[in-house]
Amino acid sequence: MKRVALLGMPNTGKSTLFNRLTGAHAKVGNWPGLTVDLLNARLVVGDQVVRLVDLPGIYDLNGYSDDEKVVTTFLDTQSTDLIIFVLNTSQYERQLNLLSQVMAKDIPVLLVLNMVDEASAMGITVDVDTLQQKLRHPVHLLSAKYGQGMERLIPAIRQTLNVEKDQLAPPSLSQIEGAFHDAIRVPAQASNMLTGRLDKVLLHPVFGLPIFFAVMLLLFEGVFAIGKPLQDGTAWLLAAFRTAALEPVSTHLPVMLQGLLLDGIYNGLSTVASFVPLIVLFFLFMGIVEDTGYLSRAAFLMDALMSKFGLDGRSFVMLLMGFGCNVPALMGTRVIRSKGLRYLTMLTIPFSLCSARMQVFVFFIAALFTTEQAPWVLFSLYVMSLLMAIFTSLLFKRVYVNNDAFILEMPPYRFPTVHQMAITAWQEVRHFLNRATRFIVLGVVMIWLLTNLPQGVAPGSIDSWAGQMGNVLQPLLRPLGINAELTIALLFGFIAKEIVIGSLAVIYGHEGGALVHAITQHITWIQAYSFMLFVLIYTPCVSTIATIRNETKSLKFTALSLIWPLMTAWLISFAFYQTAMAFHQS
Amino acid sequence: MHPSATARSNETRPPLTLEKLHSGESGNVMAINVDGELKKRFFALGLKEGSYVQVLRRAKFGGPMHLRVGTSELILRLNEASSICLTSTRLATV
Repeated sequence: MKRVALLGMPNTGKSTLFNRLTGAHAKVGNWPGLTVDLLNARLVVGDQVVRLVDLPGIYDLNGYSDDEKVVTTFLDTQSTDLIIFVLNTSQYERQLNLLSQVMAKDIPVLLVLNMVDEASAMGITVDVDTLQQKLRHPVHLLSAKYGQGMERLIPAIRQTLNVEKDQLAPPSLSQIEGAFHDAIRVPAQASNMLTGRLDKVLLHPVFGLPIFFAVMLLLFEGVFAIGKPLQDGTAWLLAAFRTAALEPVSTHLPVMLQGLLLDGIYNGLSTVASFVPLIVLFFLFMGIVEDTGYLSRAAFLMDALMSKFGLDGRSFVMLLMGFGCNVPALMGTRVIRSKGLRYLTMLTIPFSLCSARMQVFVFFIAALFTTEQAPWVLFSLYVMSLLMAIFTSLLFKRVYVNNDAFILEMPPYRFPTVHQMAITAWQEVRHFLNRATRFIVLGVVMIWLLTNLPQGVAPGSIDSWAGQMGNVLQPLLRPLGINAELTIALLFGFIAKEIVIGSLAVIYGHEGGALVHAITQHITWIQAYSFMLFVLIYTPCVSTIATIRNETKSLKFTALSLIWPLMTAWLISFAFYQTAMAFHQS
Repeated sequence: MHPSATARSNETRPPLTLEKLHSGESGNVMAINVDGELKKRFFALGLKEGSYVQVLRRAKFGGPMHLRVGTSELILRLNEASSICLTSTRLATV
C-alpha cells in the first residue's frame, strides 16, 4: 500500500486536514524505530487505497527536538510515496525554509496552502498558477476547517501519486522565496483585527488574570459538574446490569469463579467505563480552550509564576483540571511538546486532590471532626495538595529540564468546529480504552485475589491475604497510626479512591451510621488525619498509573511516579502522626 | 555634544536588546546570540536578522513578551529576549 505523509509546522491545521480526510477512522499505530504513536488511516484515492500518516508538527527537518527526530526517522526508515506539505497561508514566509528542506528530499511533494479563509480575511491573495509554474510542484488551496477546496484535494493527491518525480534539481530556498513573492500579495497592514481587540481585553494587565481564573472555573465546572453525574450514572447502569443479568446467569458457577468474573473482571471493566464520560467532556471543553487559541493566552498569563517551578501556563491548566480527575488531565499534557516539561507536569498532576479522594476525606472529616473544624481540615488538605505539587516540581525540575526554549506561537482567535472537537474526543476515548483497559482490569483482579484468598475467608477480612499483608506491613505503617484494617482500605484504594469507604464497610462489617460509629470507636482524629494525608499523597489509582504508562511508554518514569508519592506519603504521615502524638501526650 | 564623547558613549553603551523594549515599541533585529538549535527555532517562527519586531504587550511580574513578527504573533520569555540585539527602535502605533 502506498504511503502518504502529512507534514508541516505546528498550527498549520495539519491535524484538522487529517481528520477532514479520514473522519473518525484513524487509529494510533506503532512504527518500528519510533518512540511515539502516529495517527494513520486508510484513504481511498481514486482506484487505489493509500495509508495516510499524520506526522507531528515540526519547525526544522534538521532539528533535534523530539518531534523533529520522529519525523526525520520516519522519512529515513519508512518508504514514503508522497508528502503533503501543509502551510499556513497567512504566515507562509517563515515556513519556506522547512518547505525547501522537504522538497530537497527525493519524495514527491504536494503543497497545500491551508487556512485560506483566514488569509483572504486579511486581504492576502494567492496566484496558484504562477506558484505552481515557478515551483514546478502541484499547489492546492484549502480551508481544511470549513472544507473549502476539499473536493479537489483527492484528485490532486491521485494525480501527484501517479506522476513520476522529475529529474530536475529541486528549487533552492531563494527560488522558492521568489516564487512565493511573485504569487502572493500581502497588504501592508495585514493583521487580525478581531484578535487584536480580544487580546486587549483577555490579556489586559489588570483584568487578564481574573478573567483567566473565571474561564478556568467555568471549564472545571463544565467538565466535572456535568461529568460527575454522568460518571455516577454509568456506574449505576453497570451495577444494575450486574444485578439484573450477570448475577442470575452466574449463580451456578463456583463461588470463587463468580467472584473473579464479577468482582474482578467486570468491576475492572466498569472502572474503565466510568472514565469515558469524563474523558469525552474533558476533551470537548479542552478542545474549545485549545482550538480558540486561549490556551496560548493562559501560557502567557501564568508564565511568570509557573516558570519558577520549571512549569508553564499549560501545565497550570492541566494541574487545575487534575483537581477534577487526574486521568484526563494527564492525557491533556500531550499539548506540551517538550518532553522534559511534559514529564514534570505529569509527575505533579497526581498530587491534585481529585474528586474521588474528596469522597474519602468528606467521610472521615464528617466522622471525626466537628462541623466548625471540617472546612479547615479540608482546606488544609487542599493546601497540602498544592504544596506537594510545588515541592515535586521544584525538586525534579533539574531532572526533567524543559529543554525547549519558551517561544510559543500565539495563534489568532478561532472558532472551534463541533466536527473537529467531536473527532478529538472520540479518538481520546478510544485511545484510553485501547491502552488502559488491560492494565486496569489486571490491577482490579489482583486486588480482588488479595482480598479473597485463601479460599473460604471473609472477603477483605484480616484473614485474607490483604489482611495478612496489612499485618506484615504493620511495623511500617503503625508509626503512621494506620492499623491493619486501614491498610486493607489503602490496598483497595489503589484500584480507585471511590471504593475506599465501601471497602471499610466490608472490612469493619458495618455500613452507614454503624460504620461511622465503628470508625470513631477504632481510630482517633490523629490517625484519621494521618490516613487522609497518606490517601492524598500516595498513588491516586490504578487508572492514573495506567495512563502515565500509556502516555510515556516508559517503565522507569511510571515506576518513579509510583514510588515517589508513596515515599513522600509515608514520610509526611509519619512526621504528622509522631508530632501530633507527642503534643497529644504532653 | 562633543563628537568624541558621542563616539565613546556609543562604544560603552551595551547593545539594545529586545527585553528592554516597552509595550508598543518596536525594532529591527541586528543579531541573535543563541546556539544553533534555538536559532533554527527562532528562524522558523520568523525571528531572524533583519526582522521587524513589535512588542504588543509584556506580561506582569516579569512574565514573557507578546510579540508580532510579520503576520505571526509569539510569546517569548525575557531570558530568551535578552539574546536578541536590535539596531534601532521606534514607538509604533499599535
